Amino acid sequence: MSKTKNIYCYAGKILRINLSNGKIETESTFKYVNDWLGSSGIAIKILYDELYSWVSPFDPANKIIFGTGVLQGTIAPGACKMTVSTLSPMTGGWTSGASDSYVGGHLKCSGYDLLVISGKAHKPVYLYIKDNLVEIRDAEDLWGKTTWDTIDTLRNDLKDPSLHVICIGPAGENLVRGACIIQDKVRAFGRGGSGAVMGSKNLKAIVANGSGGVQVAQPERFINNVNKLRERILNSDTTNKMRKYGTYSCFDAKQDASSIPYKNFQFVTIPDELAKVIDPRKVIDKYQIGRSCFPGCPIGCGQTLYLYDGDFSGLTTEKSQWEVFSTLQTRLAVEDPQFMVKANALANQLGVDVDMLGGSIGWAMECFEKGIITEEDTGGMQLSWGNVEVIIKLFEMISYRKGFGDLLAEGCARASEIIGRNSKYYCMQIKRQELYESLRGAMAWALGAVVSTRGGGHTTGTPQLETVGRLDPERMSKLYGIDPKDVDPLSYEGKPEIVIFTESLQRAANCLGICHFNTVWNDLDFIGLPEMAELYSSATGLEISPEEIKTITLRQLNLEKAFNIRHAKFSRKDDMPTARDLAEPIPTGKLAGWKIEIDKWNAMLDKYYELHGWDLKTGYPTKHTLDTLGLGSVYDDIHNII
Amino acid sequence: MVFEMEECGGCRTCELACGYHHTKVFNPSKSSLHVINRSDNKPGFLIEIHLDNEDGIIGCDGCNDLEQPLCVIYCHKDEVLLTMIQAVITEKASNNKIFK
Repeated sequence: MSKTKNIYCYAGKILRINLSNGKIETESTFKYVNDWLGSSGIAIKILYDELYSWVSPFDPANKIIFGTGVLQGTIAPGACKMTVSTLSPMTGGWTSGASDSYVGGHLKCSGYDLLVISGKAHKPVYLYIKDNLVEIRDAEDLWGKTTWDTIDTLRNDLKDPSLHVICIGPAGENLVRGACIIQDKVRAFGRGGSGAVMGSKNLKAIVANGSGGVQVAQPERFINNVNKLRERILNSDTTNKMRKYGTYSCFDAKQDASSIPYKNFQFVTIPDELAKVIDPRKVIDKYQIGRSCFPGCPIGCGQTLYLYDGDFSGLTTEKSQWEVFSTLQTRLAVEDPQFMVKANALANQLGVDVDMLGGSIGWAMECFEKGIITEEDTGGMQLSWGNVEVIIKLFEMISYRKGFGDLLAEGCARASEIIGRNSKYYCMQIKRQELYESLRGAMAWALGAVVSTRGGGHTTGTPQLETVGRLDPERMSKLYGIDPKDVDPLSYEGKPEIVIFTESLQRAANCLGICHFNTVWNDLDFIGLPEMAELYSSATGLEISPEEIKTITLRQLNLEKAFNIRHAKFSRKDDMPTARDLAEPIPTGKLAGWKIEIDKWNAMLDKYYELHGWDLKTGYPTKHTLDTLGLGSVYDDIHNII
Repeated sequence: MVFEMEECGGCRTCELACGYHHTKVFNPSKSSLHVINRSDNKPGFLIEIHLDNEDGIIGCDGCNDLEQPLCVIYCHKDEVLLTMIQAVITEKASNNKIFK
């Protein structure tokens, strides 16, 4: 990347707040921008440099870093994402999550690219940021409130009905390991337990309301890029489908791909009769009253629903996306089609990650089915599949750490370690983070979810196209640099290449603040690395090539790996599928009988490590790889630890 | 002028486009129009469009140098927003006439 005198599009400053002593400082963003891409890219550099190996997630010395996307605050397609990165209470390693966020836009309009929060306030506080005014304000009256009540109270107190707020709910306050952070009631920084880190710092909420703006380096070139991309996205069939049903448009394809968990992944398709009853598209058709979308997005995949009948009558909320349906409705075998709407709203109100809820409750229900967990453990509750009353009660018991919920609040991996009784087999998790991803029958999707540096997940290197019925062997083989026949989801060949490409793509999207659904992750006609390079170059004035984006994002990934080695000791053994995924063939559906073969998995993992330049035995980056990426000293750090 | 726009999804791209039209910076606080959350639980949002300059906000000029207002170009419901902008421009013209 060539250095230029003037750098645009970045706000230029990083805001640092120490909640222990109230110290507020700023530093320049620009010392980071030649080696890192912004947002979560700069965040991992700060976390790696500034967190000693002895720091634990709830230690005041842990830092939680909010990063605005480099393109956030412009009209670039889907550029509405802010990230949060921290040492995760769930995995014990690096975590980062992205969310559609107006707070991010306002943080940038206040003059800050990143917000680095350290220490622990002596009593509950919230942050108020308006340009140069940065205040740590009392939040005693907000503590204990749900996220929705917190947001309503702040909007009322500050006399602004459109005020944008991110906050935690009871789950974050009670240090539930899967607590999340909610933005304006309906969007979440979901995974990894970042809400619990906020709770550990006595930080209830953040309000940003900037009056500045974002200037791009070459307006004409930038707007031309934006308009060309918008046209491509607007004219796509994928967009038409997503506008109507959001991510639920993939319902049939997911069933075909054996990618819908049922009864905690005992099955990966749902019974046809149930599919007819709970088809989420019917719920949208019946209850939609409005739309919901975010800055710059040509797709607009959100819908507002109003439940006017049924057990949850009176509820108005944005519809959930696919993950809620899959991780709660089908995994827990719930037959009431409205449940996904209620479950999403309640999880948002309590501030708890839906995958953590689905993973821990699904594990407990299967253990109950098998007699491993009994009424003695649950305080008399019958954990039967599809029992909505019990599930909703557990949401609250987990979020307030009451009774049996206190155990589940640790997440299924720790819960099974605590109770033992061979319950570990039923934990569907990777690196202690609950999976929502079905691993059998889609090998690049599986590899990406398993090797993910933030634990089980599909936003750091997992190709969506494999499981949503949009395979195009000719074009995909060119994009990934593989043989067309290896695009087949059941082939073990070519998958490391797909994952490594996607690792760069998804990191670049998160750093730039572009929603993954606006990228080639979702549709081959959407934004790829060359288009990202063009947007970034024209916006910032820092000319960058797609190859340079690849290098920078691989640097970022290697530093995430090193951070994980330092804090969580993750190695090759943690890059393996769950015991169930290795032992059981797919039981039903179009792929019935297909099974992951461990020898082929290991050969695929070898190839993945080899392409990355990582040690085959441990999975650690080699000295040569780190030297090549300009991370030479990291090798010594790793080897001082191990 | 304040309009009810039940079709609005609240993306606020219009605010960015408008701020850019006036200042060549994506600055929503300078935008002539603002998307306001409803407090009555009804669908959509309120669209407040300023006719004149006030408190740092720049009054709507209907993007008279362009074929179509910039906010409209980036709106999912462009036809609905266009009728609002046209109403604002008509009102503005009528106010100017009275003032004269």
